[in-house]
Amino acid sequence: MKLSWRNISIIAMVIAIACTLYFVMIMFSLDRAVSMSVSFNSGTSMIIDQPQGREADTAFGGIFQHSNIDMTMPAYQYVRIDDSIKQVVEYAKGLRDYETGDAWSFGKFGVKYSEAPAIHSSREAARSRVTDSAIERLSAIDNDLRLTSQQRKMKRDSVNLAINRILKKTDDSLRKVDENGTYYITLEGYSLNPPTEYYVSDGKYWLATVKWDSTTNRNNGAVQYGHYVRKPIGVKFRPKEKTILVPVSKASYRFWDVTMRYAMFVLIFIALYITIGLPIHIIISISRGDAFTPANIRRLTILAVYLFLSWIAGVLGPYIVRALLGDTIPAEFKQKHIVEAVLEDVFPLLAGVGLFLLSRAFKKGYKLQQEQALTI
Amino acid sequence: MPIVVNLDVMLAKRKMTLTELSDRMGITIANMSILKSGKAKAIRFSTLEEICRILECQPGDILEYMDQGSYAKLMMR
Repeated sequence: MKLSWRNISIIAMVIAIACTLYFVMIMFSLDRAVSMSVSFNSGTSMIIDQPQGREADTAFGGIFQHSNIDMTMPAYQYVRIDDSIKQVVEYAKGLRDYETGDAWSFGKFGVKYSEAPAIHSSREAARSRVTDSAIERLSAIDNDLRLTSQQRKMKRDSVNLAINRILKKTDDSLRKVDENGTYYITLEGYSLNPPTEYYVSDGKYWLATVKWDSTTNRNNGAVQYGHYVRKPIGVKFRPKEKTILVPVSKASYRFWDVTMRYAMFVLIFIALYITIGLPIHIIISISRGDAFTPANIRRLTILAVYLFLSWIAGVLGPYIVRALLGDTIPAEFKQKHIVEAVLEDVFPLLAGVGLFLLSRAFKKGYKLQQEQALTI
Repeated sequence: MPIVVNLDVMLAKRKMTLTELSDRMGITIANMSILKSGKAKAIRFSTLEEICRILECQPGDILEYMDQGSYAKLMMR
């Protein structure tokens, strides 16, 4: 097939755009690295007052406490104290979570249910009773020499089935009576820029932000002086998962849980049909000799639109959600720069553009085919 | 389309049916019908030459240009 100059220039333009986007992405990551080293080299430094001594144990949830070790102490005692302080600090910073419950997410959005501690205790007690009873019954089965191996296996399976049924019934009944559980909407992709810190204290969520008091210029650069101030926030944060948990009512949780489950099944079905079913249709029709048909043009266009829309939803969705939530998420929580997010996940966009161009080519092919058919 | 094919007029003058013409030309009756009904998008010179040879006429006897208004009136008839 001979390519016209126009087609070649279109293909060249698409390749040029893709390469430009790739190099812009590299440039962004280089820019950040360079700017950090520039600030170091130029000598700008920060001195932030932190709580000291006994005040560090309680102020800001204790996130600034550290072990002041008596060096005459035996090593094993030192390690124990150091570990327990680390656990306290990690819990305060949200790096440890002792909550139990359910959580699931679809992409960057999810829901979470944390059960009340009393419910957790009841569940553990019920599990313990059921497990002890199960161990007794299974031991009796194992010790019964009259049984064949097959009979033993059948009896063990039926006991395990009964145990699972009882545990599920217990879980469901406890869930129904859990009036003090906490419900959240989860949003991934957030982080805090240092020196801002997140912590939990007295069951509430806080941010320790820096208030800058003064700046002093010296020969080798400027020095900024500041101190920490605390600010209450309405959302929970999990730094390891970079996830914000927005507390919601039980009704909201149920609404979003059900909506997301149905939406997930529908979207998975649509995605499977579009990404597998449509290409199969196209391949079958081409193998039959009917490449340039209105149906194939429509299928290619649908594929292109689907890829483009899924790219928009995946990349822009978190920013749209943040805009909708407004002040619920404090400004200190940062998301990735939108350009960086766009460039990181650019393949679906390029694939969508490529398929759209292909659908236009098929449309032209269909038109030429029609002309050919109606040429006497 | 403003180019009108007056094949039926020439066939009537030469007292020939469309079937006979298609047999003599070696083109299917379906394609000849497309040409006669004005649905054809293009015609090869070789086909036009063959038609003119068989019907002993000029291309202008077969093909006529009409402006859009006159063509619309013709189609409405």
